[in-house]
Amino acid sequence: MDIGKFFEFVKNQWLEIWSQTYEHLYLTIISLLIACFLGIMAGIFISQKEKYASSVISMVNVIQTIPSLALLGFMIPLLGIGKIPAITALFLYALLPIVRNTYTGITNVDPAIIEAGSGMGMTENQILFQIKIPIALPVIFAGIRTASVINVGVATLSALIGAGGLGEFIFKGIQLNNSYMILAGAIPASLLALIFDFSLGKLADLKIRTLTKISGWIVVILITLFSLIWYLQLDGKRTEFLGGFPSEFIEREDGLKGLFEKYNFEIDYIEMEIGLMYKALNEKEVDIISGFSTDGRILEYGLSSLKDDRSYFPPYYAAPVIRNEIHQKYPFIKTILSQLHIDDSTMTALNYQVDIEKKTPLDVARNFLEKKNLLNIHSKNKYVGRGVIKVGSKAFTENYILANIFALIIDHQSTLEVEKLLGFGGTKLIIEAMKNDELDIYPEYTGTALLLMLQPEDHVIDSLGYDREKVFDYVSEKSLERFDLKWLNELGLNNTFALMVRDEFADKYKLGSISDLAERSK
Amino acid sequence: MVSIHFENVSKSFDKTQAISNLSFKADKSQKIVFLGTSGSGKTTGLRLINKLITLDSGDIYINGTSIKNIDPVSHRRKIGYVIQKGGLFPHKTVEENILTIPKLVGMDEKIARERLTQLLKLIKLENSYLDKMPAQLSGGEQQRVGIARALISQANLILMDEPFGALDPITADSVLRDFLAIQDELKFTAVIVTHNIMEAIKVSDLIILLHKGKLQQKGSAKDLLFNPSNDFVRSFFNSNRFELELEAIILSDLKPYISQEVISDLGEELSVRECMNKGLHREQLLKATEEYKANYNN
Repeated sequence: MDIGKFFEFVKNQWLEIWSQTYEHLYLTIISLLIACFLGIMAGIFISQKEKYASSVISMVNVIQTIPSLALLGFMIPLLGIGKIPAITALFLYALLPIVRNTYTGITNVDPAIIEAGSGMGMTENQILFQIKIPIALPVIFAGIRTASVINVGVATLSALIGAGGLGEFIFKGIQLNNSYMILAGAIPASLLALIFDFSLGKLADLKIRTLTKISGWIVVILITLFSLIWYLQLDGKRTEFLGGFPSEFIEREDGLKGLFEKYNFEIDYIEMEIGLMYKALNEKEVDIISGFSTDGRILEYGLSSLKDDRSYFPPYYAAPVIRNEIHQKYPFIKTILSQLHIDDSTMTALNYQVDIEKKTPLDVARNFLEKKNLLNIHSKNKYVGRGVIKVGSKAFTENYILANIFALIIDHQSTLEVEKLLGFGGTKLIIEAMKNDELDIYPEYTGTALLLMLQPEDHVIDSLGYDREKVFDYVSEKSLERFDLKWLNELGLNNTFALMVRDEFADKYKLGSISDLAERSK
Repeated sequence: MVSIHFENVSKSFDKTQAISNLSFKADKSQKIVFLGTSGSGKTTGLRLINKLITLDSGDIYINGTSIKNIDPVSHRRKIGYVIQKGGLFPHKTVEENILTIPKLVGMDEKIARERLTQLLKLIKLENSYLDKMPAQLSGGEQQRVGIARALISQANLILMDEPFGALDPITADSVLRDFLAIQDELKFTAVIVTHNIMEAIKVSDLIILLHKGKLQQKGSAKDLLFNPSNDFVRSFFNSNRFELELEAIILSDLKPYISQEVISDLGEELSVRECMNKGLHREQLLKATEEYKANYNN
């Protein structure tokens, strides 16, 4: 952590910080105002009609118990994405403290005072508006204060459904592992919470008299803001297609920006959390998302990935990577593994079985191999070798499945003993394990090897041009040279970035490749 | 002078009979006291008059008009109402509190202000009090403001529910004296609920003594003390009977001759110092009052 770097980041991103803070305030205040308006009305209503009180209060109580991300998730099928569902969710969160405090404030007014009023000839309404509500105001304000602090916090999550706010920095920062970015979002968010708490606290400390006077002004401001927002909401045009992309994809150099340049087109897009992004695509809230070409959700939601016909995305072909020493010792491993052919759609189906159908990677791997009849080998036909092969994987579904496939097939087709060490937290860690002879073999991707392990200079990458074979040859050669690691045969699947659309959307607009999309968007 | 007739009035809450078959006429009295212990139905009786509680059966006539079918809100606006501690609105200034009803009924502001100035003098509060909040006032001051608020609409009938009940004895006595002076000046009719016997004797010219919702006796303090109509009435006054009788005699007999202030001071002195310490008897006491009367006349 370097304070100087942080300030530099803040200086560079000043406009962005300001605009996110503005969005954050906008979301918080609008939802708070609506919650004040409806919450106070509801509170007043149930204070007059006691029989509805318990059901209304328990209803807002239940809303409060829904986890915030889940509530945002519910909003997508109902209201889509963007500011409106975010404001609705925030509004629902703010209701409880406001309704409850309004109700308690009003019902706790000293009955003697109410009796005095009614005894001198005030009507029910006069007692409500001139006595009960003014006396309950400090309690109501305390409720609004609580609600505002809740809303500032929850509003960070609205970045995940494309509504903006300081959550953009926070979540982007978490994904890019950039602490400065996280702080640039978190610090203004905490400051906002403190400012709301402080200023509403001051307001609640004011004498009831003053409060009664200024509450008129608050109503005026509320109405003005409402109409202003109504006006603003009408504004804003969009391109024909709307994209929804995770912050990392938007942010990285070889992400969205480069894609637009390479294919020479542009569409409007919204920043979204990955899980919600698939949901939003399914709900037709967005038309195009970016994902990984073998993601199980492609099957779940019926998606088509658009062909990267200009090879913009790096190739991420999977292949077993083995320590050269072991490869020399047991050359038959290469023969065994070269029987494996797994294309993108097969891999997608395997991922689907684990991620969506919740089968274990081991069962899915065994099932796959049994169907291909690769496990049913007579003992006298097994390759002979003595020793232990340690199979590793990184910590994500596809890698788990592939490692299990490697382990099972080697175990069944040879006399070698197999040990599994699965779930390494990253490429660096797994390479370290290979170097230290703690692992012998694991599934790796050509693109990862190129861009993370080897990191060649730009002109090398340019010369490779993300060509499938050239990249494979390059990483095989350099891995052996630099890490003494041998790349075995490619499995066939390419787990790279992909733009995805709904199947029927692809049919409707005849979209097969990104070029088609670029053509269509012009 | 407002006449109040209760005619076979009954009221019960759930299964409790708060008032049963209560009938009385109060035609010539300005200070009517509903006296009784808690649960006697005295407060219910008071609230029936301004329709805070509705009648089960029977009827109440005010100046000969049945209250049964009149609109409660406009009815209440013609009647002042004072409760314990004044019942002031905590979020309004003294002035706003007093002017609540004039504002609601749209009374001419000039008239309301004149009335306010007059009442402020009567309740012995400075002009500077107008901008204060109720919380800044003492208990006695709050009760004075409550009385002023009840009188601002020039009601000729005001109802008071334990108006001196929450005050310490010294403050209660001074507010009570000032109240009597105000009544003397404005000549309205007051119905006062209390459980305090001495207070009832001091403030009333007619006592309605209630027990378990039933009328026990109606009459002046002197009537109730010296001619009790039943054993309940007799025993009701048994504690401190001597002091009570003394107070009743002094008030009823001397009142035409001396001012309120003097009566109270006198009563205090006589009852506590002269009577109790010197062991005076009723006959001696009567003699003493005669002497005072004679002295005063001279």
